Amino acid sequence: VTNADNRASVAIRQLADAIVVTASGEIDMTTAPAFEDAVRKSLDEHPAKLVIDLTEARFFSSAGIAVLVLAHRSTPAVDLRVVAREQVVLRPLQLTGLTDDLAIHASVESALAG
Amino acid sequence: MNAEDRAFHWDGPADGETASEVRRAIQGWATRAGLPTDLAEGLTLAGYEAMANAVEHAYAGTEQGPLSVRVTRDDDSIVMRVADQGRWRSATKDELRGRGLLLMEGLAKELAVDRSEHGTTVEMRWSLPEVQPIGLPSVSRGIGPGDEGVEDRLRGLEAITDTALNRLTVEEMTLEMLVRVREVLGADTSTVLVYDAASEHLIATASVGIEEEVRQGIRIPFGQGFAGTVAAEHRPMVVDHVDNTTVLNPLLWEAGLHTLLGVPMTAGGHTVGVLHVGSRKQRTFSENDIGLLELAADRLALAIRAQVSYAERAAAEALQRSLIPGRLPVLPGFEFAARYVPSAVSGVGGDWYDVFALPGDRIGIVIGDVSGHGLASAVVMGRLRSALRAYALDNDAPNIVLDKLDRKAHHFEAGVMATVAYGVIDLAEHRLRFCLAGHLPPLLAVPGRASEFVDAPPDPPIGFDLRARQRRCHTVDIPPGASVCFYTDGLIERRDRSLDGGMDALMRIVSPGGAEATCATLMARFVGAQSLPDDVAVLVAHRRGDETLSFDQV
Repeated sequence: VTNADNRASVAIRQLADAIVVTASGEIDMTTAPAFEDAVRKSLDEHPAKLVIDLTEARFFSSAGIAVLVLAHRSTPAVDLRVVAREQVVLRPLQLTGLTDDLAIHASVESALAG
Repeated sequence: MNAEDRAFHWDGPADGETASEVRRAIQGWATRAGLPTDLAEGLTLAGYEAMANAVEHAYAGTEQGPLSVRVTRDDDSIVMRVADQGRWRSATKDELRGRGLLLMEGLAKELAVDRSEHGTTVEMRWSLPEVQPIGLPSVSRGIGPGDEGVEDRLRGLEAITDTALNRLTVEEMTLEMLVRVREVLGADTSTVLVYDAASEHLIATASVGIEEEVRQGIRIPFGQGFAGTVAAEHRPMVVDHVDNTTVLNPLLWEAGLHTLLGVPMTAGGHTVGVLHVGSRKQRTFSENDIGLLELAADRLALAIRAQVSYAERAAAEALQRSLIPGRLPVLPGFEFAARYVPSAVSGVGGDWYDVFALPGDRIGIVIGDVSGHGLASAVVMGRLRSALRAYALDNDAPNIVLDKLDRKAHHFEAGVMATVAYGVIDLAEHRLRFCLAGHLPPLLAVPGRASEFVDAPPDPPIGFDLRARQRRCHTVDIPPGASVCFYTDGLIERRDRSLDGGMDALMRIVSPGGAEATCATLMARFVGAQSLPDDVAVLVAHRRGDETLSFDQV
């Protein structure tokens, strides 16, 4: 799903034992609904593991954080892992205390492993 | 380095798409202003959260209202104010909002939320990183035991920084400094590149050893190549094999250079440029070498910045003078008067006014405010002014003219923002039809009535090309003896008074009267003997009273 003016895109990838939701670009209150939609759809599949890949996110506001909190409510039934490397995502997660609650990985490979 | 980097302001509707646009504009401003990445990102996110709160909570369930964003910067801090005119819902357990506030609290050094029945204002403050003091302490860290001769070399530089240079022009001083730097560092070349914020390029302005760099006008994109990286990352860098993989400028490897040392030139937290030295043989540069080069860079940066500021200020003033109409149209039924006063702090800026005759017994009147100050804003103002005149000639409807101006600005002047009020007075009908692009509403003073602001909600400012909805035109009749007063926010906004307070005062002060007299009263009451923090423009259109007319008719 790409939003009208290409500011953000969300993709869902179904693997054998995991679903990977990739949210790229600017995740703010106008683009977060598409992100939330993808996460809800993925949770409806009851995957063993849900990986939310934010490696390519260039902006991440509290609207995006609300989606992560939503996903976190499904743990521990779902093994939730978040991939983030850049300060632009990590800093808001730290400031809202989510780094303590979420399993944060530096790459999708490491999130899928183990 | 430009004064335009000191302030950012925006007024417009509080909606999600707009908030995203404004956020990008803030990010662009922060980057152009040379703020460190983490500060720029923090500012952008915190500002966005404040806007998101206004969008989601201030006008919940009601019609969208206005949103105002102001970012100002002085030497040691940045203050951001985001104000709406709605009331945040009081649900304290709202998780989302809670998180937005948490982010703002964590990102800003200080946060204050002021709620009143007139709206909510979020004010956030950041401290700017300390600027390195200029002088010997910044280099002394480089002097260690066993480093013979450093003291002498330092004295060599010091002599030049303190005495001889003060009598030289900036160009002479730069060359002299380059000669001395090359000598004390035992290098083969030394070069200064100055940062041009408008093009985001570094331009070679002086060189010793590879003079062709300057003659050929070498330009390096900010962030790319050797010099571009030194400037973008604000730190000294060494390249020990000069070739097309490490250095963009072919002259450097064609000159047979092997090793390069570059340091950023900054002044007052602004990127001024890059100073680099090159060696044809392989060598290492010690901490002392880096320290010496930084000392030279600091000194050069100050001088260059001072010169650029002076030159820009003079050019901006000349430009502004040439663009403000010298004489306003004189008509039987209408008279016009206007004022423009530059800021005492930042000189001329992007405010302008314009009055011109249009075909068919009509007069076009414009007042506008390009964000920022200084030459860059004045140049953009000049282009917008010409474009608006051209569109006005071909299009009758003010909203269409501003739509076209918006598209033009968005396409050709990326990152520029302006608020504009454009109106057309029909001289036969005595009627003003106007459109507001993020601009404050005009004040209407009619004999026998209390003065009031024309009820005209603003459409988005110029520069965003938001085509979500059609811009709106407003029509107001101008009875005999009435005045319509347009102004920029510099007239009424003061540090110690809110915009609302200023507008109330304006309403009380303006009464129907001659255009010149009204301008004089406004300037006396609002400006007086103060030093203006922002530039000010005022434009008054006055319809002459019936007394002369009826006298003629008798």
